[in-house]
Amino acid sequence: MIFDERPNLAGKPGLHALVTGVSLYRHLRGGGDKPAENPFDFGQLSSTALTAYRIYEWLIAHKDHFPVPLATVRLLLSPSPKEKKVEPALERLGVEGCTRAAFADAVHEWRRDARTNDEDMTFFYFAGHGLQRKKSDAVMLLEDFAQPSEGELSKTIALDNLFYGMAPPEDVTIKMARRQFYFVDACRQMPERFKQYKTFAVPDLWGEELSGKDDRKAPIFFAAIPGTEALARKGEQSIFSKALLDCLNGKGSEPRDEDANGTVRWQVSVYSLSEALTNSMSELRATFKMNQEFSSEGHGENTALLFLEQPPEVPIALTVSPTDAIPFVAIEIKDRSDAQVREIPSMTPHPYEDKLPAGVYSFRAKVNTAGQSQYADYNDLRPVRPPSHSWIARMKP
Amino acid sequence: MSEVNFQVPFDPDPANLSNFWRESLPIEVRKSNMVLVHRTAVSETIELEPGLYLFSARLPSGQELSATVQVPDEERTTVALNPESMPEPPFRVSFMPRMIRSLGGLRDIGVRMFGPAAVPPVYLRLFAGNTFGGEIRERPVGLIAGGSGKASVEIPGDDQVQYLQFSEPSTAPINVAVPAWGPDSCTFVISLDADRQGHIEAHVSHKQASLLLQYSKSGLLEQARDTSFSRHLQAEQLLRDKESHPIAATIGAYALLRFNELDRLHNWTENLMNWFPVLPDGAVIRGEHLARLGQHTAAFQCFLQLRQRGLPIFRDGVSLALDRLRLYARQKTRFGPDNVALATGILREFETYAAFFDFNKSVSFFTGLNPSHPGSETLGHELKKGLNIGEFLEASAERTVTSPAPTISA
Repeated sequence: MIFDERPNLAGKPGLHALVTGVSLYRHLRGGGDKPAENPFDFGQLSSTALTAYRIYEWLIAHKDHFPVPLATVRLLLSPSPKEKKVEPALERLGVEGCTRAAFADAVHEWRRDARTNDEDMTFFYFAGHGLQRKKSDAVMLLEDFAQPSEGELSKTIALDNLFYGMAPPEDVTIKMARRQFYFVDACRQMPERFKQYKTFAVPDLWGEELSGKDDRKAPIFFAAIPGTEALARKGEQSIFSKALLDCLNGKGSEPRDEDANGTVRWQVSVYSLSEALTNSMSELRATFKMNQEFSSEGHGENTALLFLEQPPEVPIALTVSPTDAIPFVAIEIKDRSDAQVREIPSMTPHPYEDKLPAGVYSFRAKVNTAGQSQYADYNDLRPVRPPSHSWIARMKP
Repeated sequence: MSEVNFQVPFDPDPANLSNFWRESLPIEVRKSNMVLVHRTAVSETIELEPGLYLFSARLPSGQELSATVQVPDEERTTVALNPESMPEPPFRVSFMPRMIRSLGGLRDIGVRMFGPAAVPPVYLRLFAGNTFGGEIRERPVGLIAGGSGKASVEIPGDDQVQYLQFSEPSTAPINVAVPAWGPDSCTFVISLDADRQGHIEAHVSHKQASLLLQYSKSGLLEQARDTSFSRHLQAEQLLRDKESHPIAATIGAYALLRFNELDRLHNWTENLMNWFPVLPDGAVIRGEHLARLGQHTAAFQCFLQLRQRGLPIFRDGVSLALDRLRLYARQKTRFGPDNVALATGILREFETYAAFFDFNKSVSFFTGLNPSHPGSETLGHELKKGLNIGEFLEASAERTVTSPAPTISA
């Protein structure tokens, strides 16, 4: 465990995080240990441990922004040599590698913490190799995957086993966190060889226990849709984690309630995150010319994951139509209190790009009549909210 | 207070099959500080205090319609929701996105009999029955209309699961469960885009259920949830005796399970299962509902019914069944070894399909020469069974073919 605020919380609800990242696979080619009898087509990775570390950094930086305080963080990393060079902290931290045994130990402790209080929250992140057996499924491959003389899937974790083991127990006196967030940043393909198997036995994490009433709010975000890969640029964090952190840092936020002073609180919720990730992944697909899409599964009502301290900054793009009017137009932007926030005397270069804090603004396109008298001023009142805002000044005679 | 109603005046695709979305679109109403005050739908009338409000709605394909309106006091106001720019047809994102690979690309697998500008053959066949145990029978496809790059196939509902099979020479045939039952029919629309990529959209006849599927597929969970709560998708309406809509009820129930709205499911999941004793999804939904309530013994019995009922129509049903059967197949002490053996047998059937299943589609979708034999065998060049949909896509004029009425089993 790398972060522990339990003594200070003294039993009050908290967020318990388990973050894992595997780049180094010991028994796959290049791993340095006894080679796997059957390595399948899996090789070493170069970004997933780094990705998990970035997620850990983000959790620590936002430890006071969750609906309940960050209580514990358990971090298991199996970084590649290259990642250690890119980010020396990976070595300096000295955390345990993400082997099957270490994962099992950590997850049992994590669940024990999650059973402190029904108001607790949990946060799970895995980045590494994965394969899929069905829709809401991921089999996560750990550092010692394909260990010789062991079953082929013996050093893996099945997400469904993990997920159902985190349901509220039948014994109603045992608590369980009702808000649980799962992120699986791994491929979801089924190797051809596995299609020959009738069963895909992965060792259980827990004993034979069935749940009580499962009223969790427990979304699962997969970095890849079924049958596809999750990608990363070598030596950088994964594509999905980049989109995820962008969304958590504001792009995925939404306005919710207002406090007694009328100040609107912004949050990232399950639903707003899902919508924003769709947009962010679409942008990244265009940027990196790839086809990765994410999916969200699990179950539960909407719930907040994070509160923002202030409204997010929103990229805006202002254009003038028709383009003939561009030389004659200046734009003024005012906020709800009628205070001017931007004076744009010229629309060249066009379009005008900037950022504004999310909110409602009046946009006024003013015509410089000294040059011509063809167009009239154009006013508009618009909400500016993530992920971005485009406004067109439709100039008319 | 003032009455506010809504309209969506534009129409990006007048020929769209699904024009109903206008009345069903969920709307968010926010104050001028962006705080949410109301969720409603285009067909509803609401009351608001006078003031400035922001109104917005999202189409299933993600485009936003909006309006900023000063609502006066004691007056009726109509809010017109418009897009910033004309959006694409709202159902361009179908719940069965591109299924057949580039039809022109069949050159890559050796089809030479058609020239590069021609549409290679794509054969349709229709099957019905229980996939487990090989009780599948072929039947006529039904009404097909098409021409000028588009073809539509309407599959009426039945009292058994139907599969529409799409096959191209030298590829593994694709079997698609048809979301149709009783009065709920389904229309498949196959079209070619400018790049000669084949697209298939499936439209269930129940309007709001179709909208719900679209939102779910697009990741617009807020809108999906709002739609699932619409009065048009309430079980009491959907499962009323002679006017029952089991497919719409099924779609609504899966959504409520997704949002874990266990209280809203009440006991009508039991009705869905009992009133439609052949519908596989009814057993899964009831079983999952009970399992979420912690009533595992009763849930187990529901999942055991899948042996007689077969593979669910919807992907969610297949996935939930796999989860629960795996869990229950380890509970010998609780359920007894004989029952666990039954569950294990059903699990094996499901896992056979899972290997060839596309879990990215909303309905059961798998490869196999026959719906009761999933696999990856490809067709030979000589195989020409079924109706060639390519002829309809290639026809320059509209034409309709009515095959003999489907034989509906008693």
